[in-house]
Amino acid sequence: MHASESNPRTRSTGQFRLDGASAEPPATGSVTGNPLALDNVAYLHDGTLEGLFSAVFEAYVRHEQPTDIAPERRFRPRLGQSELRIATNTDHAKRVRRGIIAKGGNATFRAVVRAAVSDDPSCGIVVFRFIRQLMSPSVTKRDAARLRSRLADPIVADLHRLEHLTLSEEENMRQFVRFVHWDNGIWFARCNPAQSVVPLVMGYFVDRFNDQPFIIYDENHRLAGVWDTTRTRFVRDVDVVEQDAAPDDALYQEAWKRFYDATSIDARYHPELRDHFIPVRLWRNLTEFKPRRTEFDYDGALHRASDGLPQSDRGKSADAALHDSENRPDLRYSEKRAYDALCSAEDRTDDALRYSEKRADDARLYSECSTPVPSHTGMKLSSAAGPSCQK
Amino acid sequence: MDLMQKLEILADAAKYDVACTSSGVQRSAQRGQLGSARAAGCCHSFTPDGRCISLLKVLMTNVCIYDCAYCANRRSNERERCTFTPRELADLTMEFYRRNYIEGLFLSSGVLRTPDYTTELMIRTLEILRFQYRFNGYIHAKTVPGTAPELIDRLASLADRLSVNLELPSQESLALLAPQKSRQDILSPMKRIAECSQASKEERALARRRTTVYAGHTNTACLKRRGYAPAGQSTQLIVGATPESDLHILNLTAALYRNVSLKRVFFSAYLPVNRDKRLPDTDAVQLDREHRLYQADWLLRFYRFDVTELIDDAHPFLETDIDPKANWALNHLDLFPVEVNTAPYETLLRVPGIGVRGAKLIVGARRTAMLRADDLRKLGIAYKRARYFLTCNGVWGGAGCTFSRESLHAKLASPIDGGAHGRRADRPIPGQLSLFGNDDEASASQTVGYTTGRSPRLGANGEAPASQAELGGKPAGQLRASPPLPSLPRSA
Repeated sequence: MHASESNPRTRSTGQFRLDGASAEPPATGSVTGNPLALDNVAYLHDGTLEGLFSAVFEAYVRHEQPTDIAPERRFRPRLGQSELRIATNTDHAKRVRRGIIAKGGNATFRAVVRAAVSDDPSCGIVVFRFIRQLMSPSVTKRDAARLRSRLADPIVADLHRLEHLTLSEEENMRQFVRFVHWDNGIWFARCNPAQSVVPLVMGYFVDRFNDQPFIIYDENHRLAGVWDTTRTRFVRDVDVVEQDAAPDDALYQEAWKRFYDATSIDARYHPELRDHFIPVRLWRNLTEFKPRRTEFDYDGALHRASDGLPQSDRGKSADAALHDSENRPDLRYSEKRAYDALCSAEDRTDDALRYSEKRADDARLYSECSTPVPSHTGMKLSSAAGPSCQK
Repeated sequence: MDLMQKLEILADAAKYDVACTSSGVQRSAQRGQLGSARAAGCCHSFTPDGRCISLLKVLMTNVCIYDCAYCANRRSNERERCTFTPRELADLTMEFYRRNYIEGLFLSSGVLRTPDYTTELMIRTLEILRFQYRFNGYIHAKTVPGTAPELIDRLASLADRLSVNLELPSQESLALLAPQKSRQDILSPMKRIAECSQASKEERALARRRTTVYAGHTNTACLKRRGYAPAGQSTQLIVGATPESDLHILNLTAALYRNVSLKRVFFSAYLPVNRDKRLPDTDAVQLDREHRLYQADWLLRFYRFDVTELIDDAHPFLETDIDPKANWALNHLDLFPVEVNTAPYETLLRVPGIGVRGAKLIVGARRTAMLRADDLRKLGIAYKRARYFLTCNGVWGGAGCTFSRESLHAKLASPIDGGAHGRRADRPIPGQLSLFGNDDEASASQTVGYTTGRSPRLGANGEAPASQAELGGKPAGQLRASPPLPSLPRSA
């Protein structure tokens, strides 16, 4: 057991280990062993999952029960609360991970990760309490594997709630991410998930679209997942300069919108149901809710599309294009770092004002798209219902 | 005609096909191939009518040699006709898939020249997708009645799910409305697909186990080939065009699940698209009936109900004001209330307000804790409905209500939420006075008024106003404040 050298505030006091082979059980209940332990303390970390796990580790080392664990950028102290900044220590984080997996198994660890990347302000302390519960000697290893099913326990129920926030947002991304084909061969998708789930769904998209280089950009968390057909990278705090779309892209976007309009049945019109399934906050990045073109140069677009490369050659040309784009970087990386899927407990950077602006934007888009208009049958239809409903 | 117009026409023509599921097969992606499939499926968008778009649902062609009374594409209708070339459709599928618009292709077709010719066009499209473009996503193909078995086999080896449309619930109705299709044409491919799919599944399971050695060779070659319709088959039938009862339809459904191991039976409320003497002369769409049928279908597939428990000869139609599960519970009040902390899983599944997920969560949570009402609320079950049928540690949750059929019926009855727009928004409520003096209705035995779809509704057997007050705080039906004024009721 050694103290973190990078953080002079921490002191080595305990002898127990988090990696499952605990020589001595961790303290429960009141603070023991550390006469200098703080009573009402908040641990602040850098917002990554490693940071959060380092803070959990530190709480064990210091025999403290923090009242809050939060990313530094987002933290507002409570009355009389002292703060402690925890430096991220990858070794400590790995030991916490090893401990969770050894006691609760991989499924429990995945649940903890999901809860930890949610944007809920309480997620740090919820995860900490759950880990304490899991590692407590009163929970046997056999019970630990199914600790997550004890939903009558408020500690477990909180974790379950946060896990579900992330799970449903992952599913939303799998459903509603829309790619645009850039002229340089890259497929680009802009999305605005409520939790930072891009690292969690990246594997799914890489699996499915393994022959096309793509970027999924999370504009809420300013995080980009990049797949260049050989490996995945994550880039944080990045702005994207959008490129020109490929010549046939407008054609297929328009085709999709028309398919969307044509496939609806007027006699079953029920927009409330649709809005229930597609959260309105996600509409602004969905192709089918973008305005329709009144005039579209079909012949020209078709001509250009047919001049394009045949399907089989497309992967190759995209590779070449990606190579070009690496020489002439189009993404302004403020930092270039590879992250693995676990290290992206990213916090929101947008402040309340930007958030309310976004909400107003969403509301405007919604009212534009779903303003009822009369149709020839006398039914009330929305303008987004499209021409098939209004002819 | 350009591709865009074709797409509009053929998507519009295919929209009356109900099935748009991409579920039933789990297939991970392979390097160099595009696409994967998830057992649970994935909905990529939702149309303004609330139905999901999971697959690119189009017809190969809307040319048809048949003349079925209910079909928008029948031969005698004057419509713009067009046909995709296999290459066009394959390109479109790939481009949509790459943009994550769709989960795959749903390919149906009108009958061009002969059923075999049409199926060959479809096969050609799937071959381009599977072999040339190495497309690994989901494909649902519809078989045309009358296709040769060899072609169906070929289609099944390319697609994930096949479906044969049953169209109508009985032979007589089929003879009346679709005289060119025979019951044999529909049932024999269904049986063949069921048998071959089962055989292929067994063969693959054996090969995967690698313990069985056939004389001379181990048969692992079948694992390299695609399976025979790995996601099974489904069917669809039209409800409301012909006079069959719910009893008939549900019995048929249960038999199909039992005998030809269908994955799904889809119900499609009849929409009047043609004028025809053989069809019912009404503008009404039986959306509520379709909804109740789907609820019953779910009970059959996931809740271990038998069809005889849901419906019987004495009541051949499902109740409209109460869902089938609540109705079953009201008919078996002697089995309730059950103790939530001890009742077996099968019993919990039968409680209105508790679903499959809720029952599993309860079973997990009660291992270490005695569940109380507050805990059940947090588990996410519909405690508002379930409480009348549960005791938590011996305490009955329905305090304030008598445990009798009538009062529980009033608590559980709820109209189907059809939204604030469209046809389901305005509906008649039995027993309510109309503001707009409606002479036709006044002469009928009960007066009919209009309310918004969300308002509570009286029970079917016309309770006294006393029970109306029981329904809760909301006034029973406020008239719409704004025009348009309601016309004659559509479903009476």
